[in-house]
Amino acid sequence: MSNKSHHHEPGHPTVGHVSPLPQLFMVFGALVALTILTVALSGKLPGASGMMIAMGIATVKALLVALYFMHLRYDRPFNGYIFLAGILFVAVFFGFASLDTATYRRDILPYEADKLGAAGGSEEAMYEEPRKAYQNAHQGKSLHTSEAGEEQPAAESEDAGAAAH
Amino acid sequence: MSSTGQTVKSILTSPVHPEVNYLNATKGFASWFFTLDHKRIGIMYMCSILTAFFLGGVFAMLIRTELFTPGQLMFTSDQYNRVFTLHGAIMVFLVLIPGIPAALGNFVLPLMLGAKDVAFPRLNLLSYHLYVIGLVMALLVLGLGGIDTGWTFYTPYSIQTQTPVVLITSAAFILGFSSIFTGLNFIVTIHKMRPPSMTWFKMPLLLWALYSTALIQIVATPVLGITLLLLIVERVMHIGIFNPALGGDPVLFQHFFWFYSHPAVYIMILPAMGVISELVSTFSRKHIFGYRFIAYSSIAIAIFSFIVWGHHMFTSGQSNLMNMVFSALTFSVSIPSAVKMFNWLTTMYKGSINLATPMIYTLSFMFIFAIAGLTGLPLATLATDIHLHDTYFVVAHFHYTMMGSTLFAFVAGIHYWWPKMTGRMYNQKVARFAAWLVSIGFNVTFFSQFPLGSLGMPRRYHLYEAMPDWQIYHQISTIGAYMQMIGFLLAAYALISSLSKGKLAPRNPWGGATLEWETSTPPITFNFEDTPDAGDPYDVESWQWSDEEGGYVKVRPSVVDEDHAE
Amino acid sequence: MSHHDHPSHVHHHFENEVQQFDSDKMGMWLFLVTEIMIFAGLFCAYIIYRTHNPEIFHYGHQFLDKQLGALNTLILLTSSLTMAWGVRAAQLSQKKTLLTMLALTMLCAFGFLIIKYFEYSAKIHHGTLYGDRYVWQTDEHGGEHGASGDEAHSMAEAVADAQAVSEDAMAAEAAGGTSTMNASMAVPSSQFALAPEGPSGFDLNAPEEQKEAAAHSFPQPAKAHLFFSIYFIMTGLHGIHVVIGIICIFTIFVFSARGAYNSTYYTPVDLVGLYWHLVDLIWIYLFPLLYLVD
Ligand SMILES: [Cu+2]
Repeated sequence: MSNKSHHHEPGHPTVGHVSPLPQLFMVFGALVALTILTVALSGKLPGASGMMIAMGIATVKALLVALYFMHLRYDRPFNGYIFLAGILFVAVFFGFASLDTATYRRDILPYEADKLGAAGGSEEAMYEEPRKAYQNAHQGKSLHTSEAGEEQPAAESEDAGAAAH
Repeated sequence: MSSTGQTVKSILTSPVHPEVNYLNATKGFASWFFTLDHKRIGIMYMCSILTAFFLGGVFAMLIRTELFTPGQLMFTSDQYNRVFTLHGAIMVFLVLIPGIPAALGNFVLPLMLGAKDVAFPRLNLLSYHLYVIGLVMALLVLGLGGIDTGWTFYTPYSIQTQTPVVLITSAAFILGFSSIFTGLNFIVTIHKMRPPSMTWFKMPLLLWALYSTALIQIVATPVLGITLLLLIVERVMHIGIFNPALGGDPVLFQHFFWFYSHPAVYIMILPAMGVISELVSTFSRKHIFGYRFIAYSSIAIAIFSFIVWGHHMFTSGQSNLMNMVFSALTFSVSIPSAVKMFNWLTTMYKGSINLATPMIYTLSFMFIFAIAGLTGLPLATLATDIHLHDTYFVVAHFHYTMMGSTLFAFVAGIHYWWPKMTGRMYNQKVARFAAWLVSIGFNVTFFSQFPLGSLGMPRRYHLYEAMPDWQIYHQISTIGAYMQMIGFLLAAYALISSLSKGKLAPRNPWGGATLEWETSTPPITFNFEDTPDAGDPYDVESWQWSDEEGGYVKVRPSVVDEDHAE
Repeated sequence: MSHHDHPSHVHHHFENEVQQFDSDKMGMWLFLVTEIMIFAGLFCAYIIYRTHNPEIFHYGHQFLDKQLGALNTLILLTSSLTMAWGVRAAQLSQKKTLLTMLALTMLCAFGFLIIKYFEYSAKIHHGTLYGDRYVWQTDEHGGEHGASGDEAHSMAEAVADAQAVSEDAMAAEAAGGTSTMNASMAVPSSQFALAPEGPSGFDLNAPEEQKEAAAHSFPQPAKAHLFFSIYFIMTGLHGIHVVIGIICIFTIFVFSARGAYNSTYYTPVDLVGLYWHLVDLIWIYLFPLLYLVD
């Protein structure tokens, strides 16, 4: 078992890596600088590249936090693998889900065009109905609380109002 | 059970039946309900899960009885919707997912490691308490009249229905965390608490299976958590993410849901496979064949399980591209599954098979799992799935995997470790008869649903008056269900009556070579007098039958055999 | 059984403190993975909607205050620094430094929540809310909020619903409730030096210009409400994590005041630290994704 051979100071078996203060400050300084950089750059770069760069900066920041503040650099490697494995599964999740919706999006566009047509070309009117329903339900709730309460559990009363429209 | 005639001497010196064991060490409700002892937690889990199983079983019988006639028998269609939803939700979230890991795993995992407990006993207890809260909430939903969404809670219907969806999804959310904590505990325990002599490849295969399961529990279950949370928020606050009436995307809900719920099938089946790997070696009196292949295939299944979820969405508006990708990937899961199957069969080959009760369930498992796997292929094939989707063919297929495989392994495991848990032997004749009855009843119930589905009977339908030809299949199925019910009640009788009437169990009634058989029966609170030495967990020759003991005794330390040192 | 020679903080089922420490730490990392997966669901929803409806992000993000977001990022980064410093202090048995650092961390966390409160209030005020509570923005021509009676009413309801006080209600109701609102509205421009032009998101006098600019650069899309759904669910869940973090930090603060931690045993400080850094880490992504959409 690997934990028999601990690679830290033998005198204090449970004291892991103690971060020197200058290191903590340097990391913090870098994080602040990167934050300022990302704010300064926002809106200055054309198209998708802006978001790519913002995400790149965020990833550098995340790495700094993980490696130094969270001690991953000095921790048992396995804890780092756990973290990486988590990221990998996140990537699988994002990848497959967005691959799919990216392709079925085409089937939805005509439906939405129809909906826009039915709304008389007004984007405002497209989803007006649920908003109106909410307002009515909201008013209805304060007027007829007791009536709604008898029909079903309180948590569901708004749904009843919304479904009624 | 081969007796050599000569007396065999045990090399284990600890007493077989110590006066103080984990069952009688302390008394009273609180000493159980707030215990940190993994064995007691395991037992409590088992009792709770079997209670939930009974409940889910009652709903199953109601469904089968209702479908005996094409018209309405007992329920209105609305009531029928609620009954099958509750059956599904209870069986999935309260029985199958926690079943083997939480009940058997909790009891057996530290024992198999020769450890005193799991790494985080308090977290383990918390996980049980969360389970109880989830169970109570499910009962509350029952009291409120149930829900009618189906156990999948698909949007947008689950946003519109006036049944208490928020309550049941909160219950599932809490149960999810119960499951996560169990998995987290197991991974850390396996990594950090193994005795120095137990390397990864001297670990019993059940532990490999539980490890792989825990991996899925940790990675997939949180996604269910956030999915259900979003659904709750959707219902309470109308955020619109999943609601097409507000421009939301209901297919996204299905992606989220199946990202968890397909791996969840492997949370159910992987530990079942682990149990079978243990039992098949013990009851064949033979070293397991292809240890490393079985171990690696568990990990492979766990990883594959994350990239096939879209096969549940072939007809849900998923794009053609992803349909093809998911179909192809789904076929790949059959490889590691088949690897296991071949290794079990080869383990049995030329073994001296002991048809004790757990082995009957094990053999049924293999028969059933083969059918479950093979009927999965036409469902993974796009063209045939269009026809079979949402029919009784699917119902039969997933009952073959989830009930026939997972539940049979669970019941096999209960019968296998029962003597160790309770210190009593149950009546083999009754239990064996029950096992046959359940196995045959199962196949009668669900095999008839394959042709029924092929003929087009859709799942979740209440009435089929227009199709009188279908009735005969439904009737066969219902008769099978009653056979199973009688079988399960008989098995329960055999087990429960053993508590008062059963004879004292020996240290090792079956001849398994894993470490849990080396401790006393029942085990003491701290599991072992001395930390046992881990050898080859499948060196079954190191235990010999002794007439005197009425069980197997350890005659020599288990060693790693050259033939099996791959 | 040889657990009589264990130090008091080592549980009986562990061989020694190294095994216990390693186990605890590994357990925490696994838990952090579950946290990441929980947020992954939300990020996934973000990516999907961002890919298909970029217009709602371009439109919606203008209602978020970049400066306040950046300020909150800096506050969280500072809290991460103090937390890491606190862990260091615990490792070195520096009780006073540990207590100071934990207190500072909590202070930052509260600061974060207070700023979040102002941001949320502004959203409630403008009706830029999630799902069906979204109020179609009609006042880009410089008119009063909610030109039509209907919308004025729904907005009032929404505001009242969130326990804030709307303009209409202010006039009608007693002064007790209004004073808090006035105070909260008055605070930002003077307090937050980092925002040079004043936090435009919620200043009662400023939004007209800002919204006008918004209306000109991007027309209001039909699904604009979905941006705010995503905004509220992401920042909301993150905010809940901040609250949980405060509770955890407060707990270890109390324990460390009693001298529970020193260089031989500081596991809880380390684990809470890891949790807190993760909360920070998630915000590092949330900030550009929600506030800096271009
Ligand atoms: Cu599946």
